[in-house]
Amino acid sequence: MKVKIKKELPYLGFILPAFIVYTVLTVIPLVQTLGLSFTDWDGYAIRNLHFIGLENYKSVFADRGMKSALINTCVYSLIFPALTTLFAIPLALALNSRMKTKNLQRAVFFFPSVPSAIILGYLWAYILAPTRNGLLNKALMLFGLKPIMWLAVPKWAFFSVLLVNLWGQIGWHACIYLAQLQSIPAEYYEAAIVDGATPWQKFRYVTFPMLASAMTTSVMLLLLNSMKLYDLPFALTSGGPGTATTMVSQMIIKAGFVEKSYGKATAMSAVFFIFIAVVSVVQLKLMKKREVD
Amino acid sequence: MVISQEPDADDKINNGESTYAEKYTEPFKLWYDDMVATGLYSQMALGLNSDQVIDMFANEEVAMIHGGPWTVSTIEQKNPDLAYDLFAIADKDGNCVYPGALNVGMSISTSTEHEEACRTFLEFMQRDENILKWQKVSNNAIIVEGVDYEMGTVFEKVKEDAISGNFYLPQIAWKNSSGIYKEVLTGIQDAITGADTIENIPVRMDEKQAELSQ
Repeated sequence: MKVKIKKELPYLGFILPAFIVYTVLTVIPLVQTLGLSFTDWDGYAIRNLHFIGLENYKSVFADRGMKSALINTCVYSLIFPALTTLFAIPLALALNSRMKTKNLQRAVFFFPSVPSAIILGYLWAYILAPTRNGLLNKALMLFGLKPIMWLAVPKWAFFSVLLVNLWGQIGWHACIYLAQLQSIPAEYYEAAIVDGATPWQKFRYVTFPMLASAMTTSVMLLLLNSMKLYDLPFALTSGGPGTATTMVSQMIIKAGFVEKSYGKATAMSAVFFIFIAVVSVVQLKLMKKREVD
Repeated sequence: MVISQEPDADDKINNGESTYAEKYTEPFKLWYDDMVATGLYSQMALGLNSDQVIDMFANEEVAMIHGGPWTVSTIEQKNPDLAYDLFAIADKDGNCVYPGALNVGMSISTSTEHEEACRTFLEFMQRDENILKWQKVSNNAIIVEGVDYEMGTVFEKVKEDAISGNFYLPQIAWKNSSGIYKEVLTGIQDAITGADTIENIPVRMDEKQAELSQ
């Protein structure tokens, strides 16, 4: 045992700085937040705290806005990863083909993931402006269609957030699949050709199963991105109209920094942390079963 | 509309003698019937940010906007020839109050290590010539005795109302103002989209007040 620890010491030494930073910036605040969620903390000094039990948690589940935000977040977290995966895989296949311009196209499709979501939100607010001067509405009117109040009608505002995030993320996730595609041994396809497989059969029985590990990673990242989404809906719609695009993270920030209900905000954070942890664990467990060893 | 009829309405709400539902239901309904139900206030406005709104006003695509002295320079930069004016909010009896509030004040922290420098700065800002410079920069009305100035914009006619105190902004008088005001904005948007009724907004304000006062 002593010999083993002595052997591991240099490696532990290398990870120590990262471990310290992680503990100080993540673990300690997390534990502190969980503890503060049972108190009447005013957001300033941690003294004169009083234990109030589950009062903060009761107010979380009684909050009308929180219920609406939770529904929005759950619906978004179901639709967005599915849509992104649906588009990213064909895009990856196209970018993996023998096009002469494939390198340029890879750069073009990857580019939208570079600017921050805040910038994308402000930019798309002009493209999706619900007036006749909005770029997208001008394009619709060119084809003889009626303009749509993209950001002013709840369902279209929700769709707009999906659309902009999809536009921003699809290239990045196509790159994840592209990397996996390039690691699939060519012999598998050669064997499939020998067996007379059609292009669809090659995709169904060779490509798709081999993409399982990339899909696990991609879907996990998409789920986390969806559940903690804040910057894009804030920049694009400020969570509106009404609460149509308000997500849980915005409710937490609103509770803490706008309403100064820090106890409630910490309780919301704790509930949300558990929710995300459960979803992530379930997703990883289910999707890892598909991975080819 | 509330304050011109009953100047201490918000005080009564804040100290529990009254509620938002009692004082604000009728004004909200009046506003909704006059502005939203008639189509004057389009649902389209919910999808615009403040920059887009000012742009549309400067380009004569919209007839009325909420604004203040801070919008003047932007409008005049975009369309110097635009002919426009402003008016106060009137109640059903024609009494007008301008929506507005005093700007932020300056004070010196008791724990500062630079008290003398802060005092020197405040004395500098108090000089008449510097008050005038500050007025030019901010475009706001100044309420300082003995200082004569011209606003030189559509807000020139607001000067007398500013000096006489004929302005009010309810959301800064409300207890738990940030949270209540956010609820008002969300509620108005819900009322316009049909997700809620205008009569329910003061009820939501009372619920939020009760929650934030715990």
